[in-house]
Amino acid sequence: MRGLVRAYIARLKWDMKTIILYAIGLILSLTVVPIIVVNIAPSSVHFVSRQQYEQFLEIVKRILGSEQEVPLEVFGSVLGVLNIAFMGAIAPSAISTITLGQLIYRDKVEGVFEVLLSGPISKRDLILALLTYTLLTALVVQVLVIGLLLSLSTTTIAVLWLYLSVRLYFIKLVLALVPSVTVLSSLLTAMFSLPIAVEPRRNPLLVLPALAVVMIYIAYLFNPAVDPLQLALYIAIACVVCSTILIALMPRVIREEWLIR
Amino acid sequence: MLYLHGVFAGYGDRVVLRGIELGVGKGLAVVLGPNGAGKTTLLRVCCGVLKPFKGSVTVNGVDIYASPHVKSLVSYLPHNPGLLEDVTALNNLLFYARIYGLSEAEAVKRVRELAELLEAEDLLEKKVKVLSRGQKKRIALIRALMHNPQVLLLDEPTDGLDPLIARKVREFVKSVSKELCIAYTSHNMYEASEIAESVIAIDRGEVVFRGTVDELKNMLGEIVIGFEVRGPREKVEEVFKSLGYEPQYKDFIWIVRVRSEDEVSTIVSELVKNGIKVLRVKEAETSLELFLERLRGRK
Repeated sequence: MRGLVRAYIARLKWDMKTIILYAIGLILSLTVVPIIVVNIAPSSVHFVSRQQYEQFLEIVKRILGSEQEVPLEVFGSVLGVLNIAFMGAIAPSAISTITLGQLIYRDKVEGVFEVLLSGPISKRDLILALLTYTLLTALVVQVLVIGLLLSLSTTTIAVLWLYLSVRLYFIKLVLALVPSVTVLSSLLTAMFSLPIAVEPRRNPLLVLPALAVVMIYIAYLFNPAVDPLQLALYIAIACVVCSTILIALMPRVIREEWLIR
Repeated sequence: MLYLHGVFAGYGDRVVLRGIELGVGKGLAVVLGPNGAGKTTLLRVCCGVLKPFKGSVTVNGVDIYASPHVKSLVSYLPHNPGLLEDVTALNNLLFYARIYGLSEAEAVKRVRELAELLEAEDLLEKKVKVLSRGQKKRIALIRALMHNPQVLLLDEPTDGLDPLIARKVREFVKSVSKELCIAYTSHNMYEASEIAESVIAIDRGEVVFRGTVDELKNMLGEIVIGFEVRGPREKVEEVFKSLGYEPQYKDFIWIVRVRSEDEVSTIVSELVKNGIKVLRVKEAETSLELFLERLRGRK
């Protein structure tokens, strides 16, 4: 088992160049593409965006806990900070899930798992090594993307602080939310990738990561005025619960024949 | 060395192997069978990839499913080479070496030795995705032999390779067969009679024949060989007829019935001597089918 994990960690080093390129692509898609979309979007999109923007304004007002009039552009910046943090964590997670899923699927088709299983390792060892590999890969991508976006956010907050003496709450919020969302969405990425790659049509495990998302929505439904910090906590709990169930179930549910072509 | 006791195996509800009783010792045994007969499933069961529904597989008397560490003694080369596409051949081999607990220095030394034997030294630094099928097979063979196994299981290792590379692979496998217990699957009777020390024929998940190459040849009677050649049609026909054959010309291939592989060499020499270029010599599928038909009839 140790040898297999070492082998997969070595593989991560070989894949690093691809991972960095992939992270750069994500950063570009998260920054450049939205700007282009906003500029060429039809008026209906602008209308919907405006509505969402106003809803977010309400949330930010509630966070500030005051009815004081704050310039719109300041709210816009705060919103931007939060949005970037969420987008930075969730969008790469979704994309890396697909990419890692494809990578694992290609290994399966090329007979890599067949060769590994013919060695002195069990199916459980292989699944745990794959989970370690996908989790580490997802984390590297997330850290790269989030690192850049976080530095942008921090700069924005620093400017806001100077400009409006915004409460320390925002800094706490971003600092709490971003790392937790980063780590947890990486966890979800890893959890999703393996079931997607291995017999997606017959794999009941696919339902479980989706539960994490559902749980967050349920939390929001029960308490629409949920504090974002609390929401971060709900996300954390949902991800940990689902991931634990998945890790426990995966070696049992995934059959040998799913790992071979 | 390798024993299968009453093995039933398959995928989901589908039973592929039905009560296989088999023992393979040192030397090269060719497992013959048409597509879908259960050859690949048999190898998967033997190397610990696919747990049988019923029965056991032992290596040196130890059940490989009860004691997975015994799998270190077995090496398996699947139909697909099992290599990571975006990684260099050497790094691929180091990836697998870690699983068998080989140190990097030890692995590199062994890889270089085997690469020299397989004329693959210049492939080691190349990424797998740029290698041809034959080159990948050679790297996969290095991978399979790197940790000095006692049992080597090869799933159609020459399938899809050009004749020259296929011959090299066969010669290499034969050269290492004195030290190892090798099971080599094929659906090519000609290939089997060329390299095998013993032959196991599988049909519909059951062992239908077990014997030596001579016994196989006696059972076989004739082998149907296809010759792909370049030269005037009349001239080719004349050469075949001068050797006493009645050739048939179908889809640009000359079909001839021979009794042994020695006759194939004679025909090739004669064609070449007459200025005809021999592009490909391949056993026609019908030989195996005929053989199995005879076995079924006898049964």
